[in-house]
Amino acid sequence: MDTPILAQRGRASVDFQAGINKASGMLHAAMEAEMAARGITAQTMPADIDERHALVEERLSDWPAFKVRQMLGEWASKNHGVMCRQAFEEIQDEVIPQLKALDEGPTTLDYGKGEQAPSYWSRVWFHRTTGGWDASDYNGYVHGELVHKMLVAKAYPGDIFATRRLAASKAPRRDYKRILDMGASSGHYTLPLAETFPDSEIWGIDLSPRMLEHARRVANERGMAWKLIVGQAEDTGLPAGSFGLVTSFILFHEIPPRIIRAILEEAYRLLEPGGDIVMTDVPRYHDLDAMSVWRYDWLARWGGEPYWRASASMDLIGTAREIGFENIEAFTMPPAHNYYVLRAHKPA
Amino acid sequence: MTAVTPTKPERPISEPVGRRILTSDQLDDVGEAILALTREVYVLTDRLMVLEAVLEKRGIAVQAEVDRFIVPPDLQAKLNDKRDKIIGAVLSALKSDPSRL
Repeated sequence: MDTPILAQRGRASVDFQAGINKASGMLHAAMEAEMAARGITAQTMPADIDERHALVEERLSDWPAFKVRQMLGEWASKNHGVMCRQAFEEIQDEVIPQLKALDEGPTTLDYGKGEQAPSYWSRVWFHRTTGGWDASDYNGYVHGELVHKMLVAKAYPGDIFATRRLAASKAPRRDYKRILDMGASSGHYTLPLAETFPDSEIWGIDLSPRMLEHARRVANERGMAWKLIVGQAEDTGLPAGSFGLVTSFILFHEIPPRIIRAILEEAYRLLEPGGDIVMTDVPRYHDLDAMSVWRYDWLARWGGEPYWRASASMDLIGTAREIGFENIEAFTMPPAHNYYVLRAHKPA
Repeated sequence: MTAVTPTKPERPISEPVGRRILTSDQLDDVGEAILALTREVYVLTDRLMVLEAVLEKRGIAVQAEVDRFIVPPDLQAKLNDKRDKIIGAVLSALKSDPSRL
């Protein structure tokens, strides 16, 4: 899908948003320098994470840029989705016919039986996206093509799409007959899976119809025949032992630990004997120093990530072991080491 | 000659004393309004610069061409610089210009 040509207002607004993100990053760096100057370091931070936040609030309360940094973050969080949706609306008359044409093709989308989405999903506006993932008919396009490619990709270190390709490559085999992407969303990880495993049948499940509709466009444009399902990753309804690889990319930090465990149990059930999981997500808090934990937690608090702390504090290795996986490995990926990969094997 | 001591003008009773419209609990809203305004200023600046580029290229003003204009890298660099200066000016007023901290 070609990068959309935005109208002037939308393009300039997205550029402006990127400028705010840049200024936020600079203010955050200045904030951490000020923290250090006022005696807050990884070594002096309290053990309790909430107390770390309280300490920073207290010590920086008279430093004007502290409030301004929070204000910029708040504004960016609340407005990034709205701004991209408005940019889309300026060009929608031209774009929608192209998108509709991509609804048809070899990829299928099963909308399920209309089950009610679980509250851990329906009651959260992930990343503070106004109205949630399904807020508008083309939210999958807005987030998949505009938010991620024009804002997130610029704000995050490294190439966020190369990271997805790297995660896909961490699967130990290349001969899986069938692969399931849990939390497939708009297909940003499903696509590198399909490219890495061109002979495998690619399946994807997600709770958001709007996001999966965009994944369908991504696949159809390339002539790929994915099987997409609207449903819960923890209760797929798919036959046991039907996949060689079950995988996910940055799904876990969006869901509470009890659902993560249920998803790992479901993955185990879905795997054929000898199958693998590769689950990539945010770094584990227990692997980080106190300052890094505070930094992630601070960003999660402002960025609409209600489950981040609980998820990042979860012992994924122990949980996988309890479920029955073997050959369990966990590692972070270079260059930034800001992604944690859990790889494990179902006994043959 | 008798010096005339100027009388202190009386305060017009129609003028309020110490009136404060906004209250401290509206500070976040003020901050949001400033950023919304900053966005509009930047959008306008961007538009003018693009318009100039188009006019220079074609000799006439064509609105549709402005909207479909694909910003070349050199102009994008200038726009980014202008954007950062405008954002910096607003942040400076808030004692938070990141380039000076």
